[in-house]
Amino acid sequence: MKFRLALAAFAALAAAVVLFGNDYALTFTIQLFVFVVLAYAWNIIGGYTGYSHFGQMSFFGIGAYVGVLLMLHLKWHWLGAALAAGGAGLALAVPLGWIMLRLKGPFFAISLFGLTRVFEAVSFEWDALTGGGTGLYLPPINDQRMLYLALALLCLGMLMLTYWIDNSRFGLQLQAIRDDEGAAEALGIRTTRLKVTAFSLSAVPAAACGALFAAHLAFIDPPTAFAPVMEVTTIAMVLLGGLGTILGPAIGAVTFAVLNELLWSRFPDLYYGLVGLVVIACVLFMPRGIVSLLVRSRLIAPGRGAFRRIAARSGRAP
Amino acid sequence: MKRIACTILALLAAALMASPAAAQKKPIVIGAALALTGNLADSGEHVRKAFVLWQEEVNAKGGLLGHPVEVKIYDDRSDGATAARLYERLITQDKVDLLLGPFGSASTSTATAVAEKHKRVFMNVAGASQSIHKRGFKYIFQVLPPITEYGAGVVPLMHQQGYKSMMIVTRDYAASRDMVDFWKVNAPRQGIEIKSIDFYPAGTSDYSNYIAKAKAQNPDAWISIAYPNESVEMVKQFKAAGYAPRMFVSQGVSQEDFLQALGKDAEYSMGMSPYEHTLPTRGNKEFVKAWVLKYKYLPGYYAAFGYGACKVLEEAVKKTGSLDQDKLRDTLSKLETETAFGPYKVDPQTGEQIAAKAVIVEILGGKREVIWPEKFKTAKTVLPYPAWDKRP
Repeated sequence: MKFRLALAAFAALAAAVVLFGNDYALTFTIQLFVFVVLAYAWNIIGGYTGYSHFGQMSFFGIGAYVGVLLMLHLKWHWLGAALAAGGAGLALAVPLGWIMLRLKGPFFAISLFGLTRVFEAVSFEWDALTGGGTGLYLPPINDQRMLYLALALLCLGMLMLTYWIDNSRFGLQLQAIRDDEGAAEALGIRTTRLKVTAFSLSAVPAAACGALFAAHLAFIDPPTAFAPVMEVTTIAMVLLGGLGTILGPAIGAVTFAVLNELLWSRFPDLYYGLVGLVVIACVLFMPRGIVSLLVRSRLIAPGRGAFRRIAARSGRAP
Repeated sequence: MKRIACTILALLAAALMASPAAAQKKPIVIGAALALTGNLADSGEHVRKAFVLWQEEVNAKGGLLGHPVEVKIYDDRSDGATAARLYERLITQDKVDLLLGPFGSASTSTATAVAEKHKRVFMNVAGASQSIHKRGFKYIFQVLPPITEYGAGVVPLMHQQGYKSMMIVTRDYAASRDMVDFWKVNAPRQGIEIKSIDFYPAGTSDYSNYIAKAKAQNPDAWISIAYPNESVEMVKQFKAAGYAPRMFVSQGVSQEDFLQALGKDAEYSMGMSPYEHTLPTRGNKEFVKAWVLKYKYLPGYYAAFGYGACKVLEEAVKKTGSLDQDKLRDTLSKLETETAFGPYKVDPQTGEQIAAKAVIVEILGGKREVIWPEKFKTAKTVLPYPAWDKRP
């Protein structure tokens, strides 16, 4: 019931921006939605499965290039291009996950960061295809409301997917892998297959989102496609909102983006320092993010399902 | 759950209303987003100072069309997506009267798309990539010369000196790609061989692999489209490795930062520069004087881009007599004038700058001297770039 309310609130909010907002509100929200999708996507592998990594932008960037190339040379509509980009994300994630998910902890996290830098270098060098540092230019989309709608639906899809993961056998299995992979395997959980599935579920929306982002900007170059700042911002958003929670990524992304816009328009010189302090404060005082704060103050229920209730009773924040 | 939704709603609403639209009717507000943080911040700062200087000057003379002028500057963090968002904000939320462009080709690319969408006149202050003006936009006017002008003098200068080969090591971005394409066509025509072309990503600080390559290939000239900080690193590493090409040309040499960072080691380096404080352009003496008085250093070309763009806009507004964007566009596409920065004239179809030209400078005796073209020469070229152990 409450979940439905959240959905309704989201829908109302999204509609309000289109109906009453100006173009700035639209642009702000489009870019916010991009982060919401990235945060949810990262939460699946980083939050639920416990495989934190710094390689999300690999999929985002490749999705962006696949999308732009289709729009530019084959004159595809951005929606088709985004779907194809999602497909490219899947095609990359399955073999990549198969190989890379053998690594654990910091090794996995850093190796994927390295991989992103490799993709960036390739996109710089392969200038016949990507235009190198010149980037690729698209005819701008003047009315971006449909793009906005597509991103809103994608956000909604990610929220529902996460809700399902949180309440399904699949999600429990992922969390078992996160908590103790050896034990999970001993219990008969097919860890490799599940990890690759989770990895793919997080790669596909990121790639599709990359194509939509490029369509929004009508421009892509390697530093924009594989931006480390976006990578770190996404992760900070998930940490801020609540790692491995249903509402965490959305709350984190919205809070972060709003803080961002408020702080930096008022104090551009102090901006990075202030954001850093906010993140440090969150990690120190709310290790499970804003969601844990809301749970503690009984604003939201501590999750559903027998497993989650037991976990809550034993004192572990859900 | 309801309360969360309310909180989110409130936060979002707060964000959207965060900046009060310019409430006062009186001043003409000119909006811009510049790279004040991020990897282009050093360069963006010069442009910001130029906008501020012009604002003071124009207000001291009674403003524009009888109104005082206020330049509203945001920080785009050297990021194209942020620049797009900020220009949306300037146009639809702050409702500024006029627009000046951001710093760098990436931000200019995304910002111009926004301005064109709203049919707003946009001065391209510092977006040198030619792709920006190849999209059929009608409201974008370039003040700086296109990048291929920057290095146009390199080839004839090498030819004059009898040099036969060059090696290109350059930062990878839109503008440098255009420049390299230009050299690829023009160098062989003068019998100059391009031994290798390397693009390094922004933020590179180690050039030892390129120096090793240069030692092996032994080209006459090392040519770079590198920012000032990158050019500084190159020279430091040349010295450390005991390497000296016979001629060293880098774009960033022509910024004051290069001289300040290297001191004596800056000598004999050459820079490509679309502007020098010694050039006899209209109003340049007064501009340099005012700049030095206010900021205590000599203006480089980023400063001149910013100032020149403001002056062109000022003249166009005065000539048009109103802020009507379509009339202003017509004026700007036909206008022929000269500012402290140099001549202004655009191709009326693309808005691309066609009048402004660049010079080549050499650091001699702690100063940038113009050595090319002949008519602006302030000193005689000293070549070759001396070996490190042969320097006084």
